[in-house]
Amino acid sequence: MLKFPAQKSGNMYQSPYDRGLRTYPDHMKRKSQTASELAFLLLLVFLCSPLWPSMDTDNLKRSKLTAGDIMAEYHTQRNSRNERSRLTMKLMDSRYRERSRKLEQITITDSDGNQKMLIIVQEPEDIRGTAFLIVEHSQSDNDQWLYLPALRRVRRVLPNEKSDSFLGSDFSYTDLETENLDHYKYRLLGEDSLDGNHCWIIEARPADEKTLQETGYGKRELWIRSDNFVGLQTRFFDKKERPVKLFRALNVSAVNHSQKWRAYRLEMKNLESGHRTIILYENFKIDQGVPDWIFTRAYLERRK
Amino acid sequence: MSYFGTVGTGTLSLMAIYFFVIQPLAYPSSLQGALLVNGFGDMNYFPRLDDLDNTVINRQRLRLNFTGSGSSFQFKFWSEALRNGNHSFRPEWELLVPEVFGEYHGESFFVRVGKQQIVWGAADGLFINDIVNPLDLREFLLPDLENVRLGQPSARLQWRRGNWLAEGVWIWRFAETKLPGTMAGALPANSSNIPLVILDPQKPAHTLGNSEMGWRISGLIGQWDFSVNFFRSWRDLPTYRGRIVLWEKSGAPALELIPFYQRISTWGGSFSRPLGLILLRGELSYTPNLLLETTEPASPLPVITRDFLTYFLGADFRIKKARIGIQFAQEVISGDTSFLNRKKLDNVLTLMVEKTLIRESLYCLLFADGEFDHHDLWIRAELAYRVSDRFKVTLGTHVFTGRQNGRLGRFHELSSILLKLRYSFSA
Repeated sequence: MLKFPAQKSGNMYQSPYDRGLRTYPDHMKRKSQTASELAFLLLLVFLCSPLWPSMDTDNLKRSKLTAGDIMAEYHTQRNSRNERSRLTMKLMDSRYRERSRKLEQITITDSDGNQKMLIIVQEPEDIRGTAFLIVEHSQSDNDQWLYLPALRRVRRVLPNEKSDSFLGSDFSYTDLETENLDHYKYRLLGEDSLDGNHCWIIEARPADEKTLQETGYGKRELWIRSDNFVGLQTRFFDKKERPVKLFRALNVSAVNHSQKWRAYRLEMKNLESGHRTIILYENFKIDQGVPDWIFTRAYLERRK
Repeated sequence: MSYFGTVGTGTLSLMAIYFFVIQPLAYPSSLQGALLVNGFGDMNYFPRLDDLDNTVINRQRLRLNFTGSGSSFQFKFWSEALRNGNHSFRPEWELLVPEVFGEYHGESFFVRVGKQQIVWGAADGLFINDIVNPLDLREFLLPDLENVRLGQPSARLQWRRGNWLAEGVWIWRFAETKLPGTMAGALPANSSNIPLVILDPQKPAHTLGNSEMGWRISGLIGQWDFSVNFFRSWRDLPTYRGRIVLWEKSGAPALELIPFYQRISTWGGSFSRPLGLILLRGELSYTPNLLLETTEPASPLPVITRDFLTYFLGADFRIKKARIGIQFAQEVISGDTSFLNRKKLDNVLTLMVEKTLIRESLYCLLFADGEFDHHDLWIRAELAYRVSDRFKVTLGTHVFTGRQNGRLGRFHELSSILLKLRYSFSA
């Protein structure tokens, strides 16, 4: 079961559920000294009872969520029917020398919940047109293709290439994928407050050797906001469980008309080298329509 | 100024008028995606390994790309101005339009018309099904691959359904592969001691009946990624038919070689599939009734018909974060080959090792292409360093060894050190 920080420390967080459950009956006890008053109150409580679930159902549900439930909600929050965004990726080394890439990212989620993602490089000039396609499959391994304009060739990303750096950044190919929840074992480690937001801390370990080899991560610890299930922070550990990378999601806000929350600034820091990658999103267009035919190998081949 | 000759003045002019005048005027909204102008300037300096004072390639180049795109329409105009310091193989100045085309894409179909490169196949460094465009082999495969493949005026139509793609290609004008002259050793053997005279090639006339057509179907079933293709074309390389003639003045005999281009049909296919941590790839191409030169080009039977099969099987995998690709390829000629210029079986092994370092700022490439029987070998090693997002320096070498008339050994004069500087820009 979840333990809210308010119950542990008393000064960090108190859920509306806790407040309601404790104060409402106590308050009633002080006021109801007579039988008639008690009957009136019981009647009032009875009449108001249909409203209670609507007031606190969400919080009640959240208090009973397991790590798997939280990850499923996190997954739902990340996915949209379709989405298009433009972003700038800044690569900064430990001496703050900076390089940047401009990308377009387009995603779509099919009726089975599988996501497809296309990333097209707009800048720098010498790799303009490089395109990366991820196609998720629920029953088998995800497909990843890379289009290389210099060779005019589409080639598959090798399974153990997925742990490599994406375009020289601190994000690996696998970091870009929406994780398959069946490939990990999740455990709720506890709760924390991050940037003023209450978060659950979830540990994710590869469920099998194959996932371990492909991702290169022995485990991850994710900080997920309890109010909207946005991932605010992830600590990545290598196969020997040494911390290797730290991810942060900042400037989180709801995207207009979509009921989806997105971070407009992402940071990934390599804890060994000090290298950082900052992603700045210019905009998000969610559920405004994306043609599904662009998420095919055929579309990449058309770019030849 | 060779581009008018290769594109065709009429085709180029009509396309330019359509894409730059008619289309923007008729459908101004189609160009709302704006015009992109980008390109690069580069310097390629390849001094010969055995004589550093002489160069194989000494070239400065300015590339300009104009790309206009709308919601469903795009056009591209790619131009190059070249200055060749070494004009053994190419003229001093060249103004080229390697590609100019317009394309339209709907939900399930795509059409592109104009001068373009069409790339088929899955092999690295081998042209097995990559046969639609002729090649510029005047400097063998030393230049960048996109400059080796020659764009051709053509129409390309694709139709997609799910994970299946059907493609039709129509090339209305034949163009041959450009060869590096006698240095290539591509001529048939001249066992006699009489002088050799090579006549102008007999090229097919530019008629509708002589146009080239092909189709390709590709798909994805589970983890299998495969394609099947057919191409009815003219062979890009000449076949030589010889005859003994007598010089009018001296009456001395000479061997006259007449290059001609054969009409051929080629069937092919390719596949790739991940298997564990390995990616398997393969490709096959079959050309029936190919005319091949005999050892006696002046004999009554200078060429004979044989079926020709080429295939490769390869595997890509990772070791120490380096991507390694190994390909074994074989060329097989049907029937008796004892009186042919070539062997019944030719075995080729290629190895490619790629690794990026310093966050993809440094790219390392080693490519080796070897032929077992002739001990022919081509080694290409490169280190490319991105000094900044726009400026790249490449240093490396090409080494050719083997028999003087071997598939690769014949290019021994191209063994060189390479230095490339490139500055990319956009407006």
